[in-house]
Amino acid sequence: MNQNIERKIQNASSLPPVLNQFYSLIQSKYIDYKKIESLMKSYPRLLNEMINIGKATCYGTPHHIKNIEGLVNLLGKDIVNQTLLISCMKPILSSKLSYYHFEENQLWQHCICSALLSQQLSLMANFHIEPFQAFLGGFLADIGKIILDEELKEHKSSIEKKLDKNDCLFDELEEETLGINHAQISATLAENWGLDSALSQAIKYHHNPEEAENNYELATIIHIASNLSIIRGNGIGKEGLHYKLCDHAVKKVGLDINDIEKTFAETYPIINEALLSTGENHD
Amino acid sequence: MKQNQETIVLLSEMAISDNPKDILTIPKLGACLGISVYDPIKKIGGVIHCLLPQKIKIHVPMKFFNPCLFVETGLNHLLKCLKEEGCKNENLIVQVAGGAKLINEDEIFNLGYRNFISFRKVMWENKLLIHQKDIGSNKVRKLSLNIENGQVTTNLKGALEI
Repeated sequence: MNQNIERKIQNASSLPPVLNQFYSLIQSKYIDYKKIESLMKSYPRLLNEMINIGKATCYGTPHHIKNIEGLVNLLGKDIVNQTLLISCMKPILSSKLSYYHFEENQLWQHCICSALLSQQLSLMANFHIEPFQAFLGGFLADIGKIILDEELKEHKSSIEKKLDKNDCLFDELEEETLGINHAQISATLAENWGLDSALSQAIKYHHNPEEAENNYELATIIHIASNLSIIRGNGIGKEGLHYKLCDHAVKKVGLDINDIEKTFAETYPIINEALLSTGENHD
Repeated sequence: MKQNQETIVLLSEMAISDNPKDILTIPKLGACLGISVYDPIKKIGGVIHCLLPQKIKIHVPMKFFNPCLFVETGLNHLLKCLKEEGCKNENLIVQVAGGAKLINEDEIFNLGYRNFISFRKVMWENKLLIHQKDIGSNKVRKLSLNIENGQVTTNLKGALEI
């Protein structure tokens, strides 16, 4: 791994502080809404965005939700956690990635799409995975692309030559070129941010879940979700569809073609609504 | 000077226009199909963005059901709407792009290819010919239909005409 990448990983060494403070407040048995309200007063944009995303991800709930208590009571803690994560990470994930060919907001929207698909798959599969863990894993799996974007630009022509060969996998190409791939960087960031090590392992192996030593199930779910997001057209940039969907993973989860189509069909309204509520949609 | 206005067609959506300033665009197509139908006589055209080949039973509220999620129902819907606008079958120019696949997707569920098969079936049923296609492989595509002249581009940079 080159020094530039190491430096960039170090610079991104903490999650937005509001996320940690909010999570510790909302995880307790008796939620102190006054404390949450006072915390959120410092982040009015965040609160508004959370309410909008919350309404959208729940098929457009009534418009009278005005505060956190209303949001939690109506949508439940998990959806509120998700919406905060989505809103907090927007400034980090919404920048334009010129090498990957992601316009402004496109990576962020891919993260939302992967997260929602991952959560849906966790509910369908015969695994015991917390839906929010699946959401978090799907959301963070490709965050490493932000770090690699600049570095890949320097190798643009050699990568494009290799991409012309149809059997070339882009995550392998990243590793061959820079000594590390975006999944490994996403996992390192998750670890640095103090997230569960099992979660970061799952993120690390989301392109090759069969290699995950632990948390194989979550790695598999994220793997399928991330590929479905690409197939759907959300997560693709210049690299096109140069990724593989592991046959073994699909079988392990116990899903067939019909289940996958059903997942697509049942999640598209939620995903479309969530993407629309997050601004301009480039899906 | 004429200023074009771009309308983004989201997944499961349809857009129809007779405004020569309009460009109907699907910014990124993976395995989805982007289908453009244009009548050069009436200068009306439409684009749909479909994800799945055929209608399946799903549990979503009725108000969120959109026929354009599926190639079969979506293309029939687009053709019906254009005919309601006075377009005639024999004048329609149909172009299609997308249907890409992951590296090893042939072995698993090959959604892009099945989307294209479903598209061909609807074309045959409606006695229509495919004017141009840019289908398959691992590449991402952007489809744009210019209502003024019916020109369709499918390259991400918008330079390649199909």
